[in-house]
Amino acid sequence: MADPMRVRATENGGVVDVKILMKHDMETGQRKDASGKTIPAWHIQTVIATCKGKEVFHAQFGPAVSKDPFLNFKFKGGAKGDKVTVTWVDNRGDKRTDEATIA
Amino acid sequence: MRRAFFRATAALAAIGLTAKAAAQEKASMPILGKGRVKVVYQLSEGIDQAVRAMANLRNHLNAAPDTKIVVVAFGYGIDFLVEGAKDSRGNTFEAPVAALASSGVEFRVCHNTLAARHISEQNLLMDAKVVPAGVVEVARLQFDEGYAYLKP
Repeated sequence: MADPMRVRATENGGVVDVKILMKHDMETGQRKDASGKTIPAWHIQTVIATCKGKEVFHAQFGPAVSKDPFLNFKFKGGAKGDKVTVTWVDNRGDKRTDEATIA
Repeated sequence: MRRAFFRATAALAAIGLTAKAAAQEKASMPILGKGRVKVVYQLSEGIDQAVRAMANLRNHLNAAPDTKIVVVAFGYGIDFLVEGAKDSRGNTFEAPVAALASSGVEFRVCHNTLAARHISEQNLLMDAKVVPAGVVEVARLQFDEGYAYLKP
């Protein structure tokens, strides 16, 4: 299982601000190791955030995204106490889901 | 005759004891001497100490990349982990902290300090993790987990 992400969600004036810190090596597939062999690509492909069963954010990540990606987005319609659930899937099919309560 | 017997058993017992002690020493030696080096950095003195620590941590990892490093912050030492904190040159700590966290450094913040100074967990940098008590964490890492102690 991959390392947990840190998710933080705060509501202010009807707008929920979500900050996500994912823990992932995000190998591009371009780098080579010490012996000159190419390190295979291994990076997050999809990130989905849902709130109350509704999708509020959907992103496709590629090899250009940095290691341990940080993501910040805002959406309307969430209230304090609701849960925001974030899931990523990488190109090997590994998954990680974490959630945070809106504060 | 009897005295000689006593002397002999005493000598045997002594040999037994030293052999046992040596065996114990042998068994505990590899645990103490080998394995990954683990270091705990104590930060409790504010921004200036944190600036020094950032440089120390980078140098530490450059020289010994497999070192497991945990930074424990409490008291004024948590200031640099609060969002928007700046050093005397006006640079924020987000980038250096994120870079160190990516190379495996853990940042642990004392919950007692947060409560005493009325700082919300939400205002900390994303890389910071909260532990119940900073001093307990420093002591526990050294006593239970064999961490070396450094205060920059």
